[in-house]
Amino acid sequence: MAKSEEKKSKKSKSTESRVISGYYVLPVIFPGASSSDTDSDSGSEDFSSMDVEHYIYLREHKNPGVEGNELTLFMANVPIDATTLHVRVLVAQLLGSNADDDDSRSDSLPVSVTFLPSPTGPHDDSIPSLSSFTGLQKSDSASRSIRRILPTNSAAQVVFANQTAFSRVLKAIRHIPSTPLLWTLPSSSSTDGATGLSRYTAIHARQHVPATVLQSTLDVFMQRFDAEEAEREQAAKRARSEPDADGFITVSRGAGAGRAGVAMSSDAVREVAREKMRKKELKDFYRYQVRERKKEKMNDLLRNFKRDQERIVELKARRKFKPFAGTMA
Amino acid sequence: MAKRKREEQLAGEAVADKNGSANDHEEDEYESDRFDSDGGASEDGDVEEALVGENGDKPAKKQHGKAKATHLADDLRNLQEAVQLYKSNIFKMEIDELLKELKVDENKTKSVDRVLHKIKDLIDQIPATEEELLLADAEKLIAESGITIPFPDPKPPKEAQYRFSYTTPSDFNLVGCYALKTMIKSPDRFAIDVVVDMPRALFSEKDMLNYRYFHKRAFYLAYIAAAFKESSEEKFGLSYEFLDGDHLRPVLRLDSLKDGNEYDFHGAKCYIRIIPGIARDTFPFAKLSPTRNCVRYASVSTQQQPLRPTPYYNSSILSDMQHFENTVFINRAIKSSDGFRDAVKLGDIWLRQRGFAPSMIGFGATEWALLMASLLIGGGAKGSKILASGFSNYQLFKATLGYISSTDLANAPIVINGGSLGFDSEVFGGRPVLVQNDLNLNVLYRMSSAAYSKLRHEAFLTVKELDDVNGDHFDSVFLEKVDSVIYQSDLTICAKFPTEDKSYRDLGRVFNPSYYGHFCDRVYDVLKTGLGERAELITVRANENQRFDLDTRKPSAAGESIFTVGLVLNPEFSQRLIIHGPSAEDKQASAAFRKFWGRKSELRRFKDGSIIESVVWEPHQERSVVTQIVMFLLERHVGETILKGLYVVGDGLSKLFQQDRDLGETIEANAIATYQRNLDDFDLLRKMLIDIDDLPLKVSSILPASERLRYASVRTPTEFSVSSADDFSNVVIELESSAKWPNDLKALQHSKAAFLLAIGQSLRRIDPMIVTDVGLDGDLDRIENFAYLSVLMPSGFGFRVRLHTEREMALLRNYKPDKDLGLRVVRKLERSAMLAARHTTEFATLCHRYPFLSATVRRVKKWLASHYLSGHIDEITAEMLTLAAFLKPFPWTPPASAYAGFLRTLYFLAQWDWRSEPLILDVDHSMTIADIQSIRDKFRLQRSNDPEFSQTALFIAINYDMSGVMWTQPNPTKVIASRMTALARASCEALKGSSGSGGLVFGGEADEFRKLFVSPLEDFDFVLYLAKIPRTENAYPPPVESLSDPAELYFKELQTVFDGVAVFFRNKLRKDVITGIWDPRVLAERSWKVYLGYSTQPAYKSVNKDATPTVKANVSGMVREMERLGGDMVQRVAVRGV
Repeated sequence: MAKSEEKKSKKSKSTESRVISGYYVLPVIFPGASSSDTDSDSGSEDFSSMDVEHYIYLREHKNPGVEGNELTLFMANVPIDATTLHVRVLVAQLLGSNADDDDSRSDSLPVSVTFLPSPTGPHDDSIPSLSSFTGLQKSDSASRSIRRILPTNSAAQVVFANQTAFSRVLKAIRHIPSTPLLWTLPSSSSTDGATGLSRYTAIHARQHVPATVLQSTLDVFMQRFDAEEAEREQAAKRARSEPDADGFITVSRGAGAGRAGVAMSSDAVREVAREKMRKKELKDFYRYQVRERKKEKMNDLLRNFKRDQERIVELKARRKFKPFAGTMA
Repeated sequence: MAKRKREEQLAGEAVADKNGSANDHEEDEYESDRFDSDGGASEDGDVEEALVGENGDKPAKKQHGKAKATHLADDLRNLQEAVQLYKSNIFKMEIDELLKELKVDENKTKSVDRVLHKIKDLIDQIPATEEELLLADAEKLIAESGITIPFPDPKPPKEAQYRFSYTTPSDFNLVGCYALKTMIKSPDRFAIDVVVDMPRALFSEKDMLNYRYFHKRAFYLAYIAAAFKESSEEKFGLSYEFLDGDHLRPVLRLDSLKDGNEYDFHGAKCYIRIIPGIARDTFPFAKLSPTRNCVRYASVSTQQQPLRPTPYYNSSILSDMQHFENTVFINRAIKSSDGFRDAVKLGDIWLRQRGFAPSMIGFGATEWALLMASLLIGGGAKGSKILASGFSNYQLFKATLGYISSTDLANAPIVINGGSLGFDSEVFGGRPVLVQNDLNLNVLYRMSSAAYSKLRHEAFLTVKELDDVNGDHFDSVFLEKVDSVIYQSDLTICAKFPTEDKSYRDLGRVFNPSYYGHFCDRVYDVLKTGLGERAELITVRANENQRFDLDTRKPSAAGESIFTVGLVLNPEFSQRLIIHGPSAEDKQASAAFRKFWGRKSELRRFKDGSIIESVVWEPHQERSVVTQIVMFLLERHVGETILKGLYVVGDGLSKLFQQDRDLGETIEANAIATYQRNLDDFDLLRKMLIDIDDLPLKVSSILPASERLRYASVRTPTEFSVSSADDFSNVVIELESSAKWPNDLKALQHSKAAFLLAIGQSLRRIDPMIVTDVGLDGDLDRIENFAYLSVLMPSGFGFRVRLHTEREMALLRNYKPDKDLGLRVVRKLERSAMLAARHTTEFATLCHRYPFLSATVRRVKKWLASHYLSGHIDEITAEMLTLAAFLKPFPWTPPASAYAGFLRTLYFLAQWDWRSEPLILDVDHSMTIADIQSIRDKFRLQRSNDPEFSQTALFIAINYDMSGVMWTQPNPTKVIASRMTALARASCEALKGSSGSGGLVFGGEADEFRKLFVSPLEDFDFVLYLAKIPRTENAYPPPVESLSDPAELYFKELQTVFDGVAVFFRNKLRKDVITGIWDPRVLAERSWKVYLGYSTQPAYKSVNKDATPTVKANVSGMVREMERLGGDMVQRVAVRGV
């Protein structure tokens, strides 16, 4: 891989970061699995154990007029599994501190990270949120937290607590860091439900909550819905009987509206009427009818002829009439 | 005159449609196929009237003037005629184009005319033999030129006393297709036939007997050949060839050398045949009547039996008198009928595409033309005409096919001139008999009954196809080569010819001078008797050399040693295990039956009390009943040795399927039974659901909506093996209508979930052994959340019940916050619920109508899955693709074996030009022409709106979805569809077999076919190898709620996260890998922006600061992201180029 050469050159001396359209390009390493993790028996290096580079594009977030934006770093192309913690660890590395003890200099680390899913990507988020369910117990498997995964090429706004830290970060991104930055989490953090089997087992569990939980969730929703419905009806009733500012009472449809069965669509009604009309009509009774029909037929014929002609031209273009060309068998 | 012609043509269409007689129908009112027309000549006036009306009505047209109007009227009349005379305008236009394509360029044949003159000069200059030669001298004389006399078998006896000589031909004629200008351009090149009449003086009346005529003829031919060789060694490629497969009559073939000499006629795409003939007064006709004997053998005459007739032999001599007359006869027809010449060409191409060459079956363009010319003057009941001279070329063609298919010339011989048959047609032993002249010559004497039944079969299929107005069948009638035995047959068996056949003695030889022809006929007769109604068509073919070198007497046998038995089966009967013979009381028939079946025959008593001879077969793991019968019969009637070297074509493929654990049950009968148990369980569930009475609303309908409930799942359903979502059968239920459903989408969906929970409880109350669980497709907050009820029945099958309400559909259609989303969800619901239910019912019915549809669709799905396409081509689309081979079998019959069905579907996929052709499936012939037209219009509209196929690639319309895109939008995409086509082509290519096998797949072992089911992983940009997910083997019943499918969820999430960046593939059946290819658009370098849609890295060359920096996709970075997401589920990763 070409990137490994680049890596070496970086180590020798501090180089200026590349700038693209005003963004500083920051290489980040996805570390490869240590060889003990992979059960590759051969000596050849496989993809899983390689370090792979990812590129984050950074710049000061410029959005004049909006308050509190002065201390915001805009981060484009964050990895799909990005979490606030990932970003904090990254910033810590950028500032040259130990990733694992982020408490020591917490004031220099971002206070909040807002992820902005790529607008070109799908909005689909199929993981049911915990809040959907009422009565979910801590012990239920469905209650396990599931990490949100971003569509590829998403961005993030990283807000800092003070100007000092922010300036330091802005300064740091101007140079390619001497030690490559790793995209990682503190070893202490739990990754349960983040990726892999545990993630998908958790998602499955979320789609199959215990019947009791589902039942109570539905009950609570329906109770609230019924109550709101009743209230709306009351309000509507009141509105119907109370005169408005000009002293008029608006005439509106009664309460039963909208609850009626699915009526026939107006199209269908018209169709039925037309059908009736057609049955009454006499065919070929008047001379003009015969003429009209003939004319219509002629027009049909001509139209079809035109279409056929076009088709022949098209078929010819596709060399369709070569009986002995391209036969199989 | 013109009017008269028109009437005939109109009547002709009626004939073509009804196969009646032209004479009777002249006054019939004609109804056109495609347009509602009053027909009849009387309408001409109305047409113009209508037009004048039009001109008057539309001011824009007024200025065109009267002249223009009549011109237009003429055009219109032509148009209308075309519609009536051909099936449709397009068909006429297509035929016109085809004929243009087939036309031989006259400029190119000019060189031939020069050559023909030279040939005549050459022959005129050949000196006569100095004396009449005895056999030995004759052979010596010819041998001097280094060639051999092509004596037919049997050779003249050594002691033959008759003498051979040569004198200048008494006549020299150009005959056949070149003389008649009916030849077509084809890769085989056409033949220019030159007949040289051997002078009468060379023969005595006795020469008719015992091959003497043929021996003298052979000498005459060799003498000419020798002269040509001496004088023009460098000018032509010379060889002998049997005249249209008649081994008694070799001819001299002259091919152009492509060296630019004065005799070079290579550009003319033809070759020249020099055919020795005789004048009609050479021998008395009467003595050559088919019932007469002309070959006398000592062995026969010693017995006190009457001499057996020698019809083939006699006809062969008579034919040599007839060359010129035939040409004259056809020419008369050409003169009388404008469409005739083109109809001959249409017939010629039709025959060629079906592999009918005169040498193979004794029926070619010449016979076709003779038949057609005959039908112009007779052929019908009481000598009435079948064809009228005013017919269009298409009418002549179709009516002739109709005649072939409806008239059995073997049992009802025809004499065209109206005279009676001068002989007993029995002598031809089942061959068709058509006599059209005073010679009593059976024009079809070379056609075996096997070949004749094939011709009629093909004619029948084509007529049926042409009668089907709903499709454009032009391609399969004229353009496609359809004679491939592997696609045509449901079962193909190859074996080696035995070196010796005891039945082929002197008399056998007289009846059929070709040993291979004789043997194939015999095999045909045995199989015909043995298979009966199991087989609709039996073909036995051998590749026989027709050409041979001048220094050989006959073609070498090398390369001919294999014969092929192709069977088109009748699926209704082919699987039956018992053959019922005659009743035991019928002694004679019983004896014959026992003789035929040998030890296999046994006397059995049946339930109805009858005692009859019968043969019983056992169901066999590897061999179908028909295969067993064929092998038994060949062994019994040909000899044990035949089984050595015998193989069933594609046997390896069948074996492969047999070993395939993905398919579950592989024996067809058992498979259907397994599905039946699943269906029985469904019925049980249906009853339970109907019986539920403790709910506010009753369940009103329960519809199956699963591939497992329509015989179409790859794996057959198995009891007590429920381990993933695929093992549940989808069921759609509806509740009785109620006004109480909430009018709010979310509330409605919540109520539905609550209902499902309640139904689950009720079911458990009915039978406590039932296990239920309510699951959700997604978050309750989203409108795409759908609840379903999983039910595990005590008998071991699982069902997934979804509740369908019209109210929900209506609310979704008007979903205010996001109209598009609402409509998308409606579509999804329609697909998965009501339409899936409709499809399930229809497909199950079709599986009953076509016994091998189920087996085929399962194998096709297996093929799609093996190529990682199953994630993109959903199950219903796959089923529709399979239906094509059954519902649109033309030019073949619907497949009657899983093997044939599978191959035919691959063939269809390889051939289907989905970019420009919709697939229209009419399951029950209920579509009208207007329907078809509207589907085609929709297709055209769709394509013109989306010329890049970015929304829809495949367009498949079926009776219950005429929109054509319900199941194919947005998947499969163009990329996937192209991939499918490419893979199908590759598979078909692989099936063709290695060269030398004559285009046949060898029987082979399973391993040879494995490659059909392997997509090389190197084709993909990256491969994620998944770890095996440990499955805890639970006791039954398993906890339904925990039956998760993490690999599937992972796959779906990858698709979501990398939407538009990469296309992912997986094998639904295996779940061992997820592979992907990058969208080519992301691989290009481009300038950077914040949301480009995929992860990028700076492109290298732009380090130079002046240039605008560009970026490119960070391929390995993204694969690593996928890997990180998969975590412990991903075992290994391969990235192309890394």
